[in-house]
Amino acid sequence: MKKFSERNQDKLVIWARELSYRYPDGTNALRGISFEIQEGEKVAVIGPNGSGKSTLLTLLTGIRRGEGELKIFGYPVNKKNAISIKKLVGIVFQNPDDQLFCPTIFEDVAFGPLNMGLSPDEVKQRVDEALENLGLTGYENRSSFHLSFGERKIASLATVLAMQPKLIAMDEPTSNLDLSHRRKIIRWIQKSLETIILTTHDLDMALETCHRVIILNQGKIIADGPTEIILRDQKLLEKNDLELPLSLQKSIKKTRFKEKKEQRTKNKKQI
Amino acid sequence: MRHDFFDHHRSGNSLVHLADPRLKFFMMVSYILVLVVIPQDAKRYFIPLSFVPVILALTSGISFLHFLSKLAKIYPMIFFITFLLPFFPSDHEAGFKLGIFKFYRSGLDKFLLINVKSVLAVFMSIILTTTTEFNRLLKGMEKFHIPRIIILILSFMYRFIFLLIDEVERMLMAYNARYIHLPFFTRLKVFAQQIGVLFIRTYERSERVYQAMDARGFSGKIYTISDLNWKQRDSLLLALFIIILILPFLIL
Repeated sequence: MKKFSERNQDKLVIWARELSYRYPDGTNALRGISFEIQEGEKVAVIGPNGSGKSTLLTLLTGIRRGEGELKIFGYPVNKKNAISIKKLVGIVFQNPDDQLFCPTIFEDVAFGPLNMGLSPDEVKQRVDEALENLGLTGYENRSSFHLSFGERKIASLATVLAMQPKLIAMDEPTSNLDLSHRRKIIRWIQKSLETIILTTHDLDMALETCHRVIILNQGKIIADGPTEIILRDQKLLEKNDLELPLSLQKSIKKTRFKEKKEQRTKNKKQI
Repeated sequence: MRHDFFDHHRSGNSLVHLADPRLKFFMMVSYILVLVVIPQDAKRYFIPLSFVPVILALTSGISFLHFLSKLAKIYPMIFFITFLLPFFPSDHEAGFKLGIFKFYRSGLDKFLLINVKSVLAVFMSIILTTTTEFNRLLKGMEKFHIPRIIILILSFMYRFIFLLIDEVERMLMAYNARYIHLPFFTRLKVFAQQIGVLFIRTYERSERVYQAMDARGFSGKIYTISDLNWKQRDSLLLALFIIILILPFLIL
């Protein structure tokens, strides 16, 4: 298992030790995983379907409770700290229709800040900022069912941003998006200063946005390290039902072709 | 998928569209209450009162046929609740025959009274819902202290009915893509199974929506922000409406 060498304990956003989760039907979604994430890191969790990626995100936000130890910003994830953790962690679900349940975008984005007990003026300010941040100014009075899928996905991100969380968990943020909305999400992740943990099958997006990658397979952490190293390790990826990001496939093929050519030339010279 | 059939008349610039939703809700409720309390022997008030929804409909700028088409969809329900009334007498009443049917005057009076009241009440409701955006209507209703839980349920219903329609459309597309020919009872069985699957999907969605609400701090209490602004024209409209409502009772 590959790890980062040292961690600054004071700046730990997520601290997990022997984290496990079993669904009521007996499926072991997570089997004793341990990892840490520091403030400001952007981490992509990748793996085949059913590896436990989405389950991990729900554990981080306290939606589900697993076994083992889990701390978010030093708070153990339990019932007592539920409210504090909800203010610190925002989760963006894969399907935006699960997250947009109010009649208008304004009300959806205002939902979180209102529950935080903010005044109407503060709520309006937060909503305006969140929408402006994501290029959705003017969408306040629109109903989510009148928006395209991409717009709904971005609006669902706005609903979380309005709460100004310190940790943002995103489940497949670019899935089913057209190129333009995908690019918007990528640019936002690149610009944002919050700590981000995201699950994805879009390895090119992970390469562009995240410093670190965790490979999860059958509920276990197989690899944890810098994106540039892990996403170039073809053998490791293929062993875990993944493949090289598309943007690297061509360049790696070229590099290998070049290496083979040099080797042949070397062999000819030797002869 | 886009669903405009609920909303396409709601944004407009007529006086009715621009009126405060609280005013429109009050007008609808008070009009219906007045209709309900009019006794059977005071039919003369119906004619002047029927002008109220007609004037509002004409002022809204929406085609009268649109209102009539909506009314036509709801009227069968009113008819089927009341159509047997003319056949029942009250207290030794001698009826009159029309062909093979025997009618009674009192029953016929009740039938007409209930139909007229219902049609006018429904017409007024259609005007309210056609000219008011649903979320603003809910905000207006909230101001009348209708329990917030009911407002939330209505709001969810409005939001998720479109998702449900999308889900059903996709299921039907999948069904039609693989459908060749099935006997009637097999088709019925498949239809029942589809309903069952739809129910399970809806239930699972509700779980995920609750998780999303919980993750955003929902603790059971419902908070909203009201952006309704009562204007001077709303006060004038309210005064005019009250006068028109009371005038028949003073004059006639």
